[in-house]
Amino acid sequence: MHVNVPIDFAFKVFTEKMGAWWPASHHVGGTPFKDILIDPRTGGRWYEINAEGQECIWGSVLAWEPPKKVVLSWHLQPDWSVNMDMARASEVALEFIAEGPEETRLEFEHRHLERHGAGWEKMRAEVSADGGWPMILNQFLAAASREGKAS
Amino acid sequence: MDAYIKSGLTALGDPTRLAIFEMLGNQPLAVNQLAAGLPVSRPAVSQHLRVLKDARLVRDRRDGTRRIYELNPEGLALLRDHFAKLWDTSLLAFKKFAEEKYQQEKKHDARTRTDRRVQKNDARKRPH
Repeated sequence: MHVNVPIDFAFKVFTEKMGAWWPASHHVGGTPFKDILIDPRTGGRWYEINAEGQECIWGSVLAWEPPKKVVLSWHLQPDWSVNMDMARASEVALEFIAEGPEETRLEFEHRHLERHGAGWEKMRAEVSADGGWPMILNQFLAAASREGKAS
Repeated sequence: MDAYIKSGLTALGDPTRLAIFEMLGNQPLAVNQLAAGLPVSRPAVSQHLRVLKDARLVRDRRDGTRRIYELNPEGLALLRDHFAKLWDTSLLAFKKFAEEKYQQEKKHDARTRTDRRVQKNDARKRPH
């Protein structure tokens, strides 16, 4: 995706203003978020905060290379709870590439989804009892409840 | 949103249908097998199955005299795409926000520079 802003600006807005641009209907916690914050360092946290000041963790910072790269872990689990075990987390990788003084290319990849459970990526008719379907199902239900709230 | 996804979301809004969907996620089952594991009647199970089938979340096949129900990978693939779209929506929102904010700041900076220049000129013109 191309964004018509300088690379530094793109990175800054992405990581520092997530609460301002992230669609309000897509919250993880039970209530709408007031802000979404990313601690600016490897090992930092990625979390939303609601109007009451309660925090709900989204993931953690796996790579922090401003203004070029940020990799975040995604810990949402089948029951829409958060499991901080890295073996159960997928990754959201964002790369910012300067294509001009006021043009940045943003590469996005949500990878290792299979770690949430077998079958997420391989949509087979015969899925093992563990993993795949429940994960998708619960993602699905969470989206449904969010969309229900949004409309 | 795709009509099938919407009906899929609605279909799983019911706890019994959700339970059926989860049971079929483990293995394909016949109606009586499903009914045995649920606190509802067999006709009720059949009715729920019809809703899930209409939403393309479940499909059936004949096995002798029995009808076996299983999850429909086609419907599930639609769902997966749906989640990919959620990210697309978010990233597009990011692009829009970043570009608008950048233009605003650029305008603001240009104005501040002009103001400063005007003030400097004014100061110069002012008689001592």
